[in-house]
Amino acid sequence: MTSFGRALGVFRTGSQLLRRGTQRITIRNGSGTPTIVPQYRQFPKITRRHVLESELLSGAMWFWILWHCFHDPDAVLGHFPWPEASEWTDEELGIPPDDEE
Amino acid sequence: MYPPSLMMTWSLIVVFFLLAYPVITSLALDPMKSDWAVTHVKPAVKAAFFFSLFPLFLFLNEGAEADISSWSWTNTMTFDVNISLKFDFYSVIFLPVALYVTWTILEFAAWYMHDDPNMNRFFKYLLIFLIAMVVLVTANNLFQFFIGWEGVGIMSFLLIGWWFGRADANTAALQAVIYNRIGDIGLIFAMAWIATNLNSWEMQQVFVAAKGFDLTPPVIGLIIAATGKSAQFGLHPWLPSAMEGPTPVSALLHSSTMVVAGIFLLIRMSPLLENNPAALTICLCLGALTALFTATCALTQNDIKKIIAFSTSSQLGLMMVTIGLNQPQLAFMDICTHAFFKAMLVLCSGSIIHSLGGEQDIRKMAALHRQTPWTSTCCTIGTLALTGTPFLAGFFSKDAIIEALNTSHLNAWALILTLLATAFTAIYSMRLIFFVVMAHPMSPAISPIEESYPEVINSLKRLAWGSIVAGFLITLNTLPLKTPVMSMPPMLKLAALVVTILGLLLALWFTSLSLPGPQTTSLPTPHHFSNMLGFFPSVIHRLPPKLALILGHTAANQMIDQTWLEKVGPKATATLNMPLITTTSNAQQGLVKTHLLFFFLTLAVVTLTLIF
Amino acid sequence: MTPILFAFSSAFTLGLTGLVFHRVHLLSALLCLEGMMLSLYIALSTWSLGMGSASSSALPLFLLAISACEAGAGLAILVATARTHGTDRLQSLNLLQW
Repeated sequence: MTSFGRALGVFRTGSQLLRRGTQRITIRNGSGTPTIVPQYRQFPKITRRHVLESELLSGAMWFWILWHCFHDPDAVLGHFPWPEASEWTDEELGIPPDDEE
Repeated sequence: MYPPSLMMTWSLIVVFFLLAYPVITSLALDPMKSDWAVTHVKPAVKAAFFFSLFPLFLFLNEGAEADISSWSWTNTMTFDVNISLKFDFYSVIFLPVALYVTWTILEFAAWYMHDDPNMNRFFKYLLIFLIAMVVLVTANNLFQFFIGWEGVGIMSFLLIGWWFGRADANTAALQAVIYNRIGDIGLIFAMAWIATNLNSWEMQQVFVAAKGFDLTPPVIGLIIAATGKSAQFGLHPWLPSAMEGPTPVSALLHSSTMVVAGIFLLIRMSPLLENNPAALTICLCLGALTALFTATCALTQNDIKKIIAFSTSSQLGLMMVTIGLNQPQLAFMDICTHAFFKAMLVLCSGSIIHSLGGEQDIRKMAALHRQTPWTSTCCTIGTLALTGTPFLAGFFSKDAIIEALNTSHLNAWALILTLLATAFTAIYSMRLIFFVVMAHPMSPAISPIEESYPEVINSLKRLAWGSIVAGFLITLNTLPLKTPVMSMPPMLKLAALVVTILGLLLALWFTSLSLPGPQTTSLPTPHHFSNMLGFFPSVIHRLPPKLALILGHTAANQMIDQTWLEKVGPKATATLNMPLITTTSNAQQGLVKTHLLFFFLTLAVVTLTLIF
Repeated sequence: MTPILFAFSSAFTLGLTGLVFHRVHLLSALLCLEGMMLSLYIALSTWSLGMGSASSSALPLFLLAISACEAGAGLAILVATARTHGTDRLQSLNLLQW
């Protein structure tokens, strides 16, 4: 149920970012390596590409799950039906009826 | 083409060499460059991973296994100890898995520890740990296995206490070593029994020669060893405490590789366990108890790494249950799939912790879904894999275990506990996701949230793909050694899924009741049992030391110092002689009465003598 | 043993015991000494009765006179003790050491 909301969220985010344009990440170098700099009330610099890729990954996960559920439901639901002993009739078991001698 | 045995041997020796080369060259005299870790260690592990794929593909193609027996280390007249490496199904599959996970973690660690002044040493320690783990996994005799076992234990100690200026870290490292040592007693006992009764430590000979013996003593020793190393109930507190180490350490050692060493031992020694119903029952009940107890503890923890640690412990309990079901192959598959998603969960938590400036309390983090999309995505994938969502990595092993549990003749108590543990897994996972990813932000506004670094994203991506497809790939390529039960009543088949979904719904209901916010009512009593880890550490870490110290105090102070060296020695002379001295000098005061007394006494004695 | 014999010999013995075992005051020792004298007086008196001859009947009187002198001497010692030692307590009479 949350995945539906998140699918809608993807569309909303994507449309917002399309309108706003891409944001670049600035790497602040103290020594050439990316460091984490404290930022006050600034939204992290996430690009459209990142959001897209992460949503694609989770989409791939759901696709994998649903595809396998569709093509291979035996793994979840059972490979063979459980034989119910109460459903076996006397005839197929070869038990003669009671009033026979 | 070269024969496959030569190819396997060659590629595995290359793997060992690749891993050992950075360690050995670090002993050189000229100082390391500051990015030695990134330029030497990570490519070494990456290359080792790719080289280890050769034996894997050889095994998948033709079922090639190799037992390499090389240098004869020491021998007596009747007992040989060699260096022998075993590359059978378990080693050949675990080695690429472990190297893949390690490669990913090293890449993450290059980012996580980059401002640590001793990063090179950190990577060296991780590499030594990896070598010890490889030695453990590929050991064909118990001596080599023990070398790897001790190696991973010591590296765990060094790495947990990495930030040794912190008292909690030192305590945690000490806990890890002590609890592992208690387990080592079991392993050494088993090794001694096997050496004296079966005359060898080579596993093949042990399995053949063990027929006809009553194997209960060594097997109990092995189970104790696994209890210590794999944090089963009774020797479990070190694992949550081990989260004091840096996140890469938690990911590598205490989620994927080291803690499974105990289970791996039992898998290797499974022919000894097969015919011993007592041992199997012990494994079963111990594993079920561990799974439920640690899952209960995880329900109310507030530290994100502790929740993951308890989750690891619960999964290890499940693996122990599988061993108790006499299904070592299923346990091994659980090890491999667990490595992927658990390492990923730990790396996600590391990214979150770094983003929030060191904040590890889940009540102070929320709404990271929009701010860190990669981390929240991978966290969700990892959690779904952990709870056994159909067709992700966890499903193939966990569901198979629960099915095997449901269809075997065993005690129902273990079954119920394991199903409850599965439900609890869903509950605490849901709680984790809810507090971390959903809801409204609860972290301070100054948090340096930034996860857009390639190391982080690549590592998470790699493990995410592993969590998704690894279970399927491993199941596809393994021949089951024991026939799985294929037909069972539909309720049993769906038991794991139903229980998980029930747990999930329960968790959703709970979280809707108690949205994150200030606590207005006091928490109920069962919460305290769970939050204080069942009061196990509070009692066990205080009572026995107190008793031991009292005993020591009594023995040293009271018995030796006060008694033997004072009262019985010098002071005895005084205390025995003083009354005599006092009486005598009291009688000799020079009083008239004394003289008259003697006069009377003499008179009386003479009179009586003359009369009688 | 006749009752009289038993009476004065036990009186003598008790007086002797009291003389020897006196606890605090010298005066009580002297009183016991007087008690011993008294028992001796009774003994002498009944002696002459028992012997049947009257030749020793003056002895008790001699004893009485001598014992009075002796009592006087004892009291003089008591007074002298009180003058020199300040008290007649027996604890202060401890010069007979070694």
